[in-house]
Amino acid sequence: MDLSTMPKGKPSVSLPLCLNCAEYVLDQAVPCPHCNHDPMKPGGRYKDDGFYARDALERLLDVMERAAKLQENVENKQE
Amino acid sequence: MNEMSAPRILTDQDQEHCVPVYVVWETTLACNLKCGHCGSRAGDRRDDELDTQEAFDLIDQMAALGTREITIIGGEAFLRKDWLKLVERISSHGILCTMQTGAYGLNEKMLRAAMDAGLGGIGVSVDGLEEDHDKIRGRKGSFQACLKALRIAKELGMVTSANTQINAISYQYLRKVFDIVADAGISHWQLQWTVAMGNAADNDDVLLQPYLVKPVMDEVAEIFKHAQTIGVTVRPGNNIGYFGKHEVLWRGGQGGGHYAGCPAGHNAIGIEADGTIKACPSLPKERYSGGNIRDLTLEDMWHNSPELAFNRNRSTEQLWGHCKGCLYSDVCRGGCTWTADSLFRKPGNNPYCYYRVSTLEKQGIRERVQKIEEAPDTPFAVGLFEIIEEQI
Repeated sequence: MDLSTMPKGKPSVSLPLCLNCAEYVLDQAVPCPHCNHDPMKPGGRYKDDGFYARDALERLLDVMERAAKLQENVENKQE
Repeated sequence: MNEMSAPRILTDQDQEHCVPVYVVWETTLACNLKCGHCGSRAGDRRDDELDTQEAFDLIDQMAALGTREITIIGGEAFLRKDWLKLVERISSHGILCTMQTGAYGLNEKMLRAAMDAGLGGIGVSVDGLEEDHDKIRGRKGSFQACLKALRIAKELGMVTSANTQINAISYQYLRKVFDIVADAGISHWQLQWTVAMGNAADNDDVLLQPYLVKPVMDEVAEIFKHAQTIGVTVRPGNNIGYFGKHEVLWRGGQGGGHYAGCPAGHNAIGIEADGTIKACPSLPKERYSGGNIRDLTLEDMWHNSPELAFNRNRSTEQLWGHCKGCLYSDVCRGGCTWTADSLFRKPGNNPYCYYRVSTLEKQGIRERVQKIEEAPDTPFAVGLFEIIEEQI
C-alpha cells in the first residue's frame, strides 16, 4: 500500500492530563477548569488513585524498551 | 491490550493517510434471533447478498487498502454457508478476523472449524441476566447458549469477549452480568449504549434516558477497577463516553489515549451484506452509502465518496446543541455519529455523554429524549427524537 496515494485526514488532538484531578485539559499552562489547581503539579486524585504511579511505570517501561533497542543496535553493529 | 485489540490501535500515520484499519462486515442479514433492540432488523437474509467470489474479491480489496482487522457480524455471520471460507480468506492476508455473534446454535464443532480457518476471537452479545436476555433476544435458551459458546471458545484457546448493551433494562444488573461473563472466561467486556435505531426506535422504552449516564458510568468505573484485579479489561465502545473523571481510567494515560472522535470513514468501514459500503456498519444506507462494491471499487469509494469522508477533516462546524459550546468540542466532535444521527437524523449533538450530563447537573438541568416520529420498517431505520430539558 502506497500511503502517499491515500486520502488525507486530520489526526486527532492529544490532550494533557491535569495532574491533580486526572481529567483532561486543553492547556496545562493555565489553572485546570475542573479543579482549579495547577495541572502540572502532581497531587490530589491523580496521586491518590494510582494514576501517578501508572504513568511513571509507563514512562519507565518506555525508557527500558528504547534502551533495549539501542543495545540491540549496538550489538548488531559489533557483529 | 492483547492480540485481539492491537491491530485496531491507530497510529498518527493511519490517521494522516486515512488507512481503513478496521472493518465491520455484515456478511448476511439472516439471523436466528429476533432481538427487540436490533438496529438492522435482522432476520431474513437480503435478496442480493454478495456471493462467495464477490466476497473474496472484497476481502482482497480491503487487504490492498491496509485493513488490519475485520469483524464479521450479521444477522448471524455463521448462518452463511461459506462463512469459514471467508474467515480463511481474511486470515490468508494476515488480517485479524473476529466474529460478533449471538451464539445461538454456535457449537464446539463450528468453533473448532472456525479456529482452524483462522478466527482470532469471538465477541458474544450478552444483554442482561438470563430472563431479560432471553426476552429481548426473542429466544429462550439464548443466554445459556452465549455462556456455553464463551466457555468452549475459551477452552479452545480463543480470545473471548462479551458485549453488553446498556439500556433501561440492563443498567440495573451490570455488575451481576459482569460476574457471570467473567466466570465464563472472557478477557474483555465491551459496553455500548443501546441506540435508537430499527427495533430499538420502535421499542423506545428500552432506551436509557441520558440523565442516567452519570450514575451508570460511575458504577461501570467500579466494575472496571474490580475487573482489573481479575485480569479482565472493561472496554467502552465508541458511543460510551466522553471525558469526565473516568476517561483516564478506561481510555487514557498521561499525554493521550483519551476519546479522539468518531473514526467512521476515517479509519473504519462498515459493509452491508449486499455490498453497500458505509463509514460505519450501523449508519443508515439512505444517507451514508458511499456506493456498492458491485458498481465501484473499494479504493474508488474510499478516495472519492463524500459519504465516507465526513469525519476526516475533524471540524466542529457540524456541532449543535450543548456539544457546540463544549470544552472538548474540537477533540470529541459530538462523539459517536451513529448515536446522534439515530436520534436526530443528523450528527453533532449527543446527549449520551458523561461530561455533558455532569456539567448540566451542576446547572440543575437534566435531559431526556422523547420520540416524536416513528422509524420506517426497514433495516437501519431511524425515527426522530427531541431533547427535553428538565430542572432537577
